Amino acid sequence: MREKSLPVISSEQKRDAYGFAVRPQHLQRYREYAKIYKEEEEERSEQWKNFFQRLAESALVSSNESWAEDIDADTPNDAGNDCDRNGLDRCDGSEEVGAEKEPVEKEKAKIHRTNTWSQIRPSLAAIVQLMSHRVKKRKSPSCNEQESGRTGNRLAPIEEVARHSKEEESEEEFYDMDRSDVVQEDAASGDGGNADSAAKQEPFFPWKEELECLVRGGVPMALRGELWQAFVGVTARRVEGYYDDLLAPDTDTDESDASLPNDTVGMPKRPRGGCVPEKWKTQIEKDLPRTFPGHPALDDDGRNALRRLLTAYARHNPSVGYCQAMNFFGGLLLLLMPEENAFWTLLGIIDDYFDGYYSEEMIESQVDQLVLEELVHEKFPKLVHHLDYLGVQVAWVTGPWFLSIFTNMLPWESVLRIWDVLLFDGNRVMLFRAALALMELYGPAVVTTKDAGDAVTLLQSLAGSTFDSSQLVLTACMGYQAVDETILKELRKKHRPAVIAAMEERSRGLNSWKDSKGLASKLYSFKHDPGSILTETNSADVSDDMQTNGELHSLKSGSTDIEGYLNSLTVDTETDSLPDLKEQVTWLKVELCNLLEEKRSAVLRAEELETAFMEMVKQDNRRLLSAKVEQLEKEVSELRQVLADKQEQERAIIQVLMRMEQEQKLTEDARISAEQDAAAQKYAAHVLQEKYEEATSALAQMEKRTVMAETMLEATLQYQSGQVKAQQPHSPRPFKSCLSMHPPGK
Amino acid sequence: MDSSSSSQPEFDYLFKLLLIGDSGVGKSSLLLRFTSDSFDDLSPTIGVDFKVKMVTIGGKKLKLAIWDTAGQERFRTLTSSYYRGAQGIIMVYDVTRRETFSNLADVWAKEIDLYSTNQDCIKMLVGNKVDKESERVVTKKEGIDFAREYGCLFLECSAKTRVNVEQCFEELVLKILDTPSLLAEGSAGVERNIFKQKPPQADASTSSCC
Repeated sequence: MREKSLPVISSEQKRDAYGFAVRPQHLQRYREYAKIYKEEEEERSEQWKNFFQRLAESALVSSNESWAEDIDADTPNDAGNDCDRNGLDRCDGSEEVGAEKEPVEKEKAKIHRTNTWSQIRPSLAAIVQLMSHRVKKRKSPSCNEQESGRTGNRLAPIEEVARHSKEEESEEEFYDMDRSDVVQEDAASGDGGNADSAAKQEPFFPWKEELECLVRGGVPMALRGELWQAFVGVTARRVEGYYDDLLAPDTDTDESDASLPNDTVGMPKRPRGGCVPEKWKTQIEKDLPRTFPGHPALDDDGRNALRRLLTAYARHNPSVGYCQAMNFFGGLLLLLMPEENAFWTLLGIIDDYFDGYYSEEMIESQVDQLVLEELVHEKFPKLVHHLDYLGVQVAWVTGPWFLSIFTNMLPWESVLRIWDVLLFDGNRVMLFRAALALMELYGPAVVTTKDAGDAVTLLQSLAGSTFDSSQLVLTACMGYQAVDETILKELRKKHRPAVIAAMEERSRGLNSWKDSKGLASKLYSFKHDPGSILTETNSADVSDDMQTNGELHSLKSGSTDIEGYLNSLTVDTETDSLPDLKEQVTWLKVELCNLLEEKRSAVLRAEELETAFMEMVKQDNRRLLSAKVEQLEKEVSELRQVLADKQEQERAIIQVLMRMEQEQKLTEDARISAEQDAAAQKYAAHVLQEKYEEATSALAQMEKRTVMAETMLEATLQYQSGQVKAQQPHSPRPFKSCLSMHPPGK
Repeated sequence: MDSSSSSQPEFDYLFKLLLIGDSGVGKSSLLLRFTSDSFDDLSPTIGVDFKVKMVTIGGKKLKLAIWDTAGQERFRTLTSSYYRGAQGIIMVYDVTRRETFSNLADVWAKEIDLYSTNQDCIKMLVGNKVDKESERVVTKKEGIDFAREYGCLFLECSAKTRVNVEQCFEELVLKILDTPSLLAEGSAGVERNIFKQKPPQADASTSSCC
């Protein structure tokens, strides 16, 4: 039976229990988790049932129905897609009934729409009350259009009642069961309205914390649509008939019925029919078939409902209009609740929860990314370090997560669980907590990547496979409890100025570009063919559906004043068709173009100069640095030189020392050899002395011998003379001569 | 997915390419056809989407990191940072919707002017949805003229029938390979820096990446 309460039985294998497509690479994992989801769903159904029972017993909720009845009985209000289906069926039925009863087309259309609203079941009244309190609290200081709407609501209860009775007449079969609810609800809202002052004393809800735990554990599918409405405070927000009136212009043009019911009282803002340039219309049409393509519940009727829903919101809040991603929100809400309920829920989400997020400038969205970046930096320094190194900005991945509130980014079970908490919280804290939890889960894997492309795609694909929704939500809520609205508010305040400054710079840049380039290129074509501008602007007019009225141009966005001026001039010339004036206009245009061209060149020149200046500054810096480096290098080389010199000197000294040593050795040697010489000479002298002595002695001997020989000779001579005298005593003479000859030899 | 586990860079160059153009002209479809050769009903892109594809073109192994941007006007305030460091920008229009073509001159060319940091960055004009020949309102000649005026490459293709899709990326990449300054940025050695916005902190994660 509870299986039945899951909205769409997956007929196709590639779709999950909610009818959303499952990516082929995740099919296996989805099948694994489908069982777990079912078990979890049963468990939480039980928990919620108990909770409501206790609530009904303790608090005196004025309800004769019990929660058990609610969840078990298959009321038309029950659960998700069935609900939507029923809503659509009911519409068809009502149209028939209406046609039978009242032939007026307009009336029929009105019934068609009003019936797409249904009340939240009374057993949730306590939660509704708790949350409406929040809505009121937020509204009372701002005192915006909603407030006035509520005032209107209170002022005109009679008409409401009248309308109710009319509906009920035409629709008895379907409102049978709801009627009691309607009455009760009216009473409740009346209470809330009258007791504005009473509400201020902050009623005490002792079970609020328990409810928070339950929400973090997940909202049962069967109750999700209504609980979400309760969280967003749809009942408190709703202004009867507002939704239909927003859509009235459509009905009007569709059925070419001129008379508009302008008499409705208490409209927050009368939607201004066909005059409003609905530039979002094309975009919505483009995105309708692209919203959950192939989802079984989004057939033609479903897409028509989505179209009405998005158009109504765009008209309700033209400063936001239509932003892609809202189609996903709208589609999701339509799967869970009737059309008008979806409208008020969407309105609550975009106007309150995401105020400033989806507007033209998307300021808050950018601020949130800076805030998240700071938080990630704080919590995961290593991951951020790596991403910085790869040149990846966290916002490239998380930006789309936030903007789409994770739709299409995570498996659906996880998306819904995040939405449960986010809508309950009433702010965007859950976005941050979930993103931080995802970083915690996948950061370690991302740190292993080696280039930006890999890092980003890995993080995306890992996020896409986050099937363990309970783990995710638990990690987010428990692990990052410290990240709360107060901290976020402070961080936003800190980062907002930077975003706004960047926005201003951008619009300045665009404007100068527009003034210069856009018109300069127009000038080009104008110079070549003066008629071309006329045709060009005209064709633009045609496409904008306002070719006839020149004044309308001034209603167009103010950023294009000059072009608008040009256009209006053009139109004037066309309508007046005075040749003189035309010439004048042409001349003026040429003049204007010239001026613009001059301006453009000036702007360009300025830009050039700026870049040149920047370049110079950069180069200057570079030059300074390089000079410093050079100087340091010089110093180093000098020092090195000095060192080298010193070493050289040392070496020289050593050499000198060595040389001296050598010389010393040499002299020593010389001395030794000299001594030796001396010794040798002494010896030689000695030897010579000896020889001399020898020679002297030999001489002496020789003298002796000579003496001897003389004596001998004398003796001999004396002998001879004796002999001669003996023989010849008369001859002494010869002897004497002989003797006289000898002494000179002595 | 593409988590590379080998330690050597398995490619010669890494290029960053960017797809821009109006909402619904088929940027995401073009990319899906190129990266996984399939065609599907796609959801509108919120913010930005990424795909990585390895190809061999001109005898070089290339890793293409392709950024698929959201087309709706207001998302442009977010997309400005994506232009930084792109070597190639593909401007896509729908040949069956004139405003998507005229917006290239009025809007997208100025975005490139304002945000592209790469002077030599190669631009390519691509007219998509030529399979709907009967609904065509922008002629091929107009495309050629535009391309000539803005100095970009030009091709007409169909993501649905796959005509010319490969060629779009191939021509663009070949031209990038012909441009030395772009080549230098995309070479595997400095690969990490092509996405750089901030200078790396001194001792950037030596342990984690190798």
